[in-house]
Amino acid sequence: MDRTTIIQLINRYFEGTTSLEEEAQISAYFNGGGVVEDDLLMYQPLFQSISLEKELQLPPTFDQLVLDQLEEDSNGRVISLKPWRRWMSVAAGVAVLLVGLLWILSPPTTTTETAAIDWSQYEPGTPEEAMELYKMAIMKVGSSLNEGAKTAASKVQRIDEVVQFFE
Amino acid sequence: MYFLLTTMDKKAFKKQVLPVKDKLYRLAFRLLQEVNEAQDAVQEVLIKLWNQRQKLAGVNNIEAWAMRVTRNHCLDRLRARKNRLEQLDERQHQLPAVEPSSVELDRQEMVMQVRQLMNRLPENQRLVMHLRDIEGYTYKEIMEILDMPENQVKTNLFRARKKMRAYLLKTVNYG
Repeated sequence: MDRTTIIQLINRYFEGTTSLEEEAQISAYFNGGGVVEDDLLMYQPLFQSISLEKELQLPPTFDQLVLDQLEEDSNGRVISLKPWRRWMSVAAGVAVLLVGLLWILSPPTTTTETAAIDWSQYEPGTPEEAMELYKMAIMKVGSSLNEGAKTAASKVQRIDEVVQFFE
Repeated sequence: MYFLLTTMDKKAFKKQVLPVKDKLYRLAFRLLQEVNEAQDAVQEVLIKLWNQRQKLAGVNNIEAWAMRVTRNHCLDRLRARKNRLEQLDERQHQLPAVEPSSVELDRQEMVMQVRQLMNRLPENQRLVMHLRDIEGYTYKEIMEILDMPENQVKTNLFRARKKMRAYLLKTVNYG
């Protein structure tokens, strides 16, 4: 395309008087890979941008997503606009069901666990230590027995006092 | 694409409506300016078209009709989220200030700036320029999609392109 023609076309483009065919010629000039006149380079980003915008497309999976929704509409009813919302509610229902089933099917358990105790720290390490522990235990038992005897004597004395009072 | 339908089953829908999905998507993206939201919008539009398929019998140009439904649906979305674009007046759509550093922009950055500028055009100018320059619709089709008289279509296109040219000239002059 000669310089005069493309300049005229560009001017008419900005005046809004070009046809679709002429606009296609302008696009081809700027996007065709040919040499662009220096003083027209400033217009190139506009037509490159327009060309790029034309390439914008939905992802390839989009068709199937829509068609799957139409498939569910076998009875002619109005279908929902947001399939993911329906799937989320289904998933939530399934989750609740599973939790309920697990609770029902799980065997009853009682809390029988006790904290592990390290008994080794209480075991005597030598015969002498064992003997000391034995003596302490005997003294503890004896002390308890003495305490019991004292308490019994006190009780008997108290009973005697009461009997004497009524006599 | 002109069709005269009495009924539309899934096969017909797949053949006649789904092929325009990318055009719907580009329009939705132009308006919503967010990829995921634009995809959601197109999905909703297609489902809406399917649910209203009984009404398609009276529609001559399904593509233009689908584009119109998409445009209205996206505008509803914008209103629902009180998008700032709805609130902007003409003054706020002035061309962005061009800094002297813009001369250092490489070609790719310029392309991105042009795209951003197009997204900042007033709604009608943006839509008309998109439908004409990106999708290659005739004035008559644009009138049908936007429900806009021909003189308004041409005026909006002229103003949009004039702003784009002013931006390009200003950028280069700073260089």
